[in-house]
Amino acid sequence: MTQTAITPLLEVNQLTKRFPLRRSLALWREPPAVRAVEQVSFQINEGATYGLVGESGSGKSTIARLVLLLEKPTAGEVRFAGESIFPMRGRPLRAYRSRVQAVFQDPSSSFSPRMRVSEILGELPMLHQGLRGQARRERVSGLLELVGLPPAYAGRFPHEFSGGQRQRLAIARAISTNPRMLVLDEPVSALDVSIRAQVLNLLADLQQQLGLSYLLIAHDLAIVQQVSDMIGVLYLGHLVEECPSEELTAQPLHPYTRALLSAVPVPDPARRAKALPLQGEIPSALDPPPGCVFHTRCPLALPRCAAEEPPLITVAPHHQVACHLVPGQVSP
Amino acid sequence: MTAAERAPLLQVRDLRTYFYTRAGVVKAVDGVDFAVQRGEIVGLVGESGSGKSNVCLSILNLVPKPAGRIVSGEIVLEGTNLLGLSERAMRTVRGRDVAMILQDPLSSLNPVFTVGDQVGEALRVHGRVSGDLRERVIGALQKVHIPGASTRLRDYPHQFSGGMRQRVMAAIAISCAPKLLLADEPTTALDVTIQAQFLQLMRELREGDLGILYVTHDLGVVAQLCDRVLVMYAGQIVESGTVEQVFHAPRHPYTAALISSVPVLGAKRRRLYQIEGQPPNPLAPPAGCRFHPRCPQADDQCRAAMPEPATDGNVTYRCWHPLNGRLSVTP
Repeated sequence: MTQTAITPLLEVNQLTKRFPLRRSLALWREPPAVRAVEQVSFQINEGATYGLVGESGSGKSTIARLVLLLEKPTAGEVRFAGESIFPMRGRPLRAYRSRVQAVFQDPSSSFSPRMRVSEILGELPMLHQGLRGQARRERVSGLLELVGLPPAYAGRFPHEFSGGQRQRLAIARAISTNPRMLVLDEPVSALDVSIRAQVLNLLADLQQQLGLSYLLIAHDLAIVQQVSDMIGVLYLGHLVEECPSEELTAQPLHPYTRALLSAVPVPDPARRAKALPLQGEIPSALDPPPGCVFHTRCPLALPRCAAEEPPLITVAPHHQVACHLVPGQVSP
Repeated sequence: MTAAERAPLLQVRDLRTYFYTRAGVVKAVDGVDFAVQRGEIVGLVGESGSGKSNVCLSILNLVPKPAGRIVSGEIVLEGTNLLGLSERAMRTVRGRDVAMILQDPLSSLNPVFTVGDQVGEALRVHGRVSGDLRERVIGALQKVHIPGASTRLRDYPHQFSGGMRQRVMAAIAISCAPKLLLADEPTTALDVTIQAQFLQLMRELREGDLGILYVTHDLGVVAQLCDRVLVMYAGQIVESGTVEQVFHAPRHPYTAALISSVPVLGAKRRRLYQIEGQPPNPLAPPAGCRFHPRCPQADDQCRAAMPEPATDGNVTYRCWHPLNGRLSVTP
């Protein structure tokens, strides 16, 4: 493998986010904190999709919010096109915001109900590119066409659209600044099955047409696998496994990844789950277990797992896993 | 076996539940027929607005009044037409013979009473207390695998996790040993590993004679859990049959399209099959077959008249041009 000098578009290095609870009277003591994200590192290449999967409380949305500069990190850095984003101020910050845009889960709460589509989609091109008048109107029709909506809808209000169409609008607004990367936080979870495929296909088309990179956050493994190039599996704020999308189902290594995969209900009655479901629940991020964070639910845990935190090790090109049993005898 | 035992647990015939709104009449459930046998899990799938939740509410006669009304039909539970019962008689059916679990346990549980109180309430109301109520409550909580049931019954709903709250709902539902359980999207708000645990619980519960009507939009859950499946579209059941039949050789193009549009774990990355257009406006559903504006093979017949249900072996479908056992829709 040649380690060519392609700098990744987004580089997340040892990112950590803790939310401290209120300080106790003992001021010299460290206040308790929710450990949302613990030393997570990954990279997204130009034009690629990186999928982050995990259950609720895994820290996946916190990572999205950090990348979008909606939260400040406790430690670690994020580099976009080589530039560290957290110290950015002024002009570089504005440029970053226009280059990295977001689409969230609930399209109905991401628009002002009093703005027409023309204002919603025209606002950012006006602010970032100074488009006005006819140029701005043309940009709005162009955006609507890109996401598969009739340009005649420019005069409508958000409530006049269905859920799927509103998500198309959210995507149109996100690409209105000519971004290089979109952060997609559960972009299809709120949509009906028949509409999900439409939106996922649209995202794939736009990626091709515009050369976008995606950071996709979702809990649905099948969807993440369908659209991602690389996948990171998060558990209680820790990245426990990272691999190319095809290897996730072919060669999952971490016991949590395996448990997660076997818990996904496959839409085929001939392939009914045989394995017993994973026992227990995700522990509190206020008081995460020592050692490997997964050891309390791991069917294969050894005494060592409760004592020592396993490092993320590379087991194959682009395949990393944090488990004491890998490489070794991780067989079900 | 007597005739009464052979008859299905629940038989729904030509159920029509309409909502009379200022904007017009919404035919939320429009001529639905199905049966649930004892010890059977029947999946009811459909997208939002297809009418699946209103089928459940109709069975319990809890359709929001005055806008909603059951216009016609029969809901026969073990020989009794529930629609003919007085409100007083219906109250003894709800919770005792037919129990329900909803999507969001936090809005179904009362925050100011302990979990033990709430499980015990169902038992008390339905006079099912023989011996020690506390023992019965602990028994119900243990049956749904809540760890430390004897101490946890003193806890309040907010002290439980989402998955455990849904188990509490299941404990309330089964406490009076109902004959039929209606589960309306019970795992939609849960994480996949917790969902897998809950589905396992459902399988255990039906071991007795309990019949379960499981409402969901997730085809994966249906395939993993159910014996038979009913597919709803715009207020009607467009296809029904055993899960093997319906998933492997769907006859209705909507069913086929729905199955093809779901990403499958481990499958090669591909463009997903997409159903064009939007679900119909419930105030003005299209004439003829309700799926025709989105159907790749619709023709004049489909636009003109609604197909009647046709049965072929284990499957019943409503389509003029049923697919021939191939799981693909070609335009």
